[in-house]
Amino acid sequence: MAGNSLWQVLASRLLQGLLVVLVVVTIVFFVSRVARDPIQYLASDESTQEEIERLEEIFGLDDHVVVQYGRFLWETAQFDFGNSLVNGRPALNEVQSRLGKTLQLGVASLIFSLVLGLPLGVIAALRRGSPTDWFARLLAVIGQATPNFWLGLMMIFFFSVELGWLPTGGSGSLKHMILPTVTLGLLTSAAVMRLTRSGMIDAMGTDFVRTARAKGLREGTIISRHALRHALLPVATIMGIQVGRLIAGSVIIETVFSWPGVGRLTITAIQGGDFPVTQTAILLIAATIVLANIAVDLSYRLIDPRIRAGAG
Amino acid sequence: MSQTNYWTTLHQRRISRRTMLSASARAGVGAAGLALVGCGDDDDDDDAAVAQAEDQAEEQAEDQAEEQAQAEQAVDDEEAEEQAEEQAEQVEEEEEQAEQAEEEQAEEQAVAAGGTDLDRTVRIAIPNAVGGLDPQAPGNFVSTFLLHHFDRLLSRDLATQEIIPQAATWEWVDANTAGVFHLKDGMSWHDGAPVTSEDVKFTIERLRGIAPYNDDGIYATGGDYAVAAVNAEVTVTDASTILVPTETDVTAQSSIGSLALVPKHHVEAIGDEAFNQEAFGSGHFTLKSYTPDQEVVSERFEDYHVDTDETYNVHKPWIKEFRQIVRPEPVARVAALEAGEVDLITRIEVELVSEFEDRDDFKVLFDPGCCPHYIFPNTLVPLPDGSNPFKDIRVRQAMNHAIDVDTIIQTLGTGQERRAYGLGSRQLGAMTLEQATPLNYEYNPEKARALLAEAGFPDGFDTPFYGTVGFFAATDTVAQTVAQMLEAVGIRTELQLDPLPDFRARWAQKDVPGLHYYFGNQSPDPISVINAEVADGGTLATAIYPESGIQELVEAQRLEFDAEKRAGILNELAEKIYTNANWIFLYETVETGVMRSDLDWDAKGNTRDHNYYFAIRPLAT
Repeated sequence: MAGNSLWQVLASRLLQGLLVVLVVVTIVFFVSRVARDPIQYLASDESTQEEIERLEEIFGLDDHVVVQYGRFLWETAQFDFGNSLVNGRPALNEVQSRLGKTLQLGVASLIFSLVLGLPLGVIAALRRGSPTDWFARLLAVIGQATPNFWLGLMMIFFFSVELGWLPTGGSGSLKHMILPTVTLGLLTSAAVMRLTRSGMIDAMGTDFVRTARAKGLREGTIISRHALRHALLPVATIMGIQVGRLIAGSVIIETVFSWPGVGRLTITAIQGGDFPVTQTAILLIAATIVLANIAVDLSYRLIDPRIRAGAG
Repeated sequence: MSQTNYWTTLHQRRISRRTMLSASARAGVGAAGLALVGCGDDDDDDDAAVAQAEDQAEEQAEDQAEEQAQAEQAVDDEEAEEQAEEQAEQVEEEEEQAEQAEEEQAEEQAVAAGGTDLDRTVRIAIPNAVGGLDPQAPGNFVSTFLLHHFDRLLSRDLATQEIIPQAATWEWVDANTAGVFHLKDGMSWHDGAPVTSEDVKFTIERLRGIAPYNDDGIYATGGDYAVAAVNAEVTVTDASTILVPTETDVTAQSSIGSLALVPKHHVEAIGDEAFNQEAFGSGHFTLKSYTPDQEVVSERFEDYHVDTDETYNVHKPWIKEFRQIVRPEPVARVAALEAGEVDLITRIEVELVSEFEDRDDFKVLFDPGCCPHYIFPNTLVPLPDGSNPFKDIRVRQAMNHAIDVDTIIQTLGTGQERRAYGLGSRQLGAMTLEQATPLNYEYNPEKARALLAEAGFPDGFDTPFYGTVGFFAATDTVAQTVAQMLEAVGIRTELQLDPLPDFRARWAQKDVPGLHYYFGNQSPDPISVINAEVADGGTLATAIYPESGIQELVEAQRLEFDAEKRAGILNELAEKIYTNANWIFLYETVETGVMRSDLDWDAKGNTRDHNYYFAIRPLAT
């Protein structure tokens, strides 16, 4: 039955995802403790050994690292991620309060990349070899080759300092979103454009497109209902990966544009030795990427009827 | 970089309806002219054609008369519109003139008040703003951007570095075993309640974890070390007097004196967790709003107990509103300044600052005298080959002669750094310039090689060398340069660079041999550097020389209560540390920043300390 199969697929993917998240947080847990001694962030040059021991006791760092890990897993399973060492607030609250901003930026970037990448890819494919195609490919190469950190700074200098059109950073209005969205989305739009272009070129030469033409369907219908649908499958695949890239990229972009999201919180937490917040942030980021990939897996079934039929 | 260019002027230019109308009109006339020139006909011989032409001419004349009437009506309408526009513009101009007059009046008032604009909002870009509001909460050391909301018992004069009263005067009693602090008159918390000695007692006891007031009994701040000098129960004598038994005067000044005072009634009323979100103090700024990761807005505390007639002592700020805007990336901070989003940026790399040096609209801050940089040898643990060359003073002298500090300052620094001497920066108890100059370890690789040979290391030796990255600018490249200079005289190093906390954690173990590149801090007194890095047993003290007489001087300054005598001992200690070549002495860092030219801020080497924003003066222009 197709319905059972869908649930089976979903359950299987969720289990795999859970395993991935567990591995990620385990690595983060041990790296944050083995590579660095969190207490050194809290103590001062003048802290005595007694003071350091007291701080270790307060933050539960006096136990063996394996005991700490067991406690961490047990508490995490109960959604207790501990308190921030910096301000004493629950780490989950700290991350949650910034998650909305990161998602806002991520979704906007994703939409931007699709709005720019899909039409450009289609046009480039349909006018293969034309100046439009040449321009689109050039844009894709630049988009993929330019480090977004540098691109962000250049955008700030051009649009904020030179033209005075947009703020250099911060959040609060639509204007604040434009530069980080474009910077973050440009890389993804380049990937989308290239895949759409190659997918469309393939599709336009297939038998089903020839058949559609022979049936006398309008060219627009052939492109939108047949060829593009075929070309979207690799794009959907890449979107799953791009969600990860967008979140990873947000760590840098949020710093450059002073965007108060999870990415910047993670950087600050790492720099400040705030390991409960670091762990929570990375766990949520990992979970988001896993869920995005599961969503992409499921979206295949919507896009490609053959997969639906196969499953059924 | 120019702030005005074609694009900015274009997008700012206003295109009025009148301009559009006149442009359209000109276009219409031009088109009609073109039609006449391009479409004329010369053939007029035929009578019929002439008659037809006459008829057409009559028709055209009628049409033209009609069009003219319509055009006249349109012109009338247009004129009416223009008149309305002119009236609106006149009203706008009058409003603008009124606003301008008000501004001029405000400026005149500011000038009358001594050239200071007391109504200004000043915006500064800061690298980060996360953390709670409770200055005593564990880990809240990062919240230094909020410290100006809290008063301290003692402060120091920015110009002289002398320890002075901030919230309290003090004296030593009971054969110098206790300090008595007298709170100044008229002090109040930001909620209007008076500051009392009970608050001071509560502040100390809360930090020590012995103040029973909440459900958990005590608050585990983990900050005992900050009040380590307090060795017995604190006693309230009256509403404004408190007796604090201490071990020494110097630690009392630098620890108890620098505590951020917290309001007992507020903490007890709302509890520790809530206080971390809703804290207030009695400092010269009050908190207006706080958005983590984005902005901290403070306002001048109008009831602050010290007025603005002070200059270098903590006083009621000249700034009316103070906005700390988060811009983590240094280049983005520069961009925010250029774009007019902030008025002041600090902790900026030399390369970025230098772009502002020749500009009239900005002032560049070079604030020397912070944080001397040294390289500490570990004399406690032998090198991997079993030798311990650092115990020999000739090796240590050789290392100092091997380093071309002046070239490092000129090529890797701002060129305005000063050589480091003794144990602290020159402001904080190191040797005077006159005292230090004759002792200077001049750059002399030949002498260094000779000293090494004399010490039994003609071929030099191998040693690990640990440095830091990211905390101060260029410490990584300075460490690499030092490594090359040492290698040039035969001391082959294996350099490892780490972030500061990792470096510090390793060094604090004291069992790692080799060289460690670290820096002094900028606390009001060199006692913290002495305690941590000089005193035998100090948490970071790995360069120990038992025969040098240094430990005796460390103890002597600790027991000396007379300020002048103690200064003399500190001076002697600094000279001893230098002549003994305790460490490799590099330079005192320069803090760099840029501000708009309508601000004045002589921070006297204190730009790292957020508590000194009170000294920013907006100039009346």
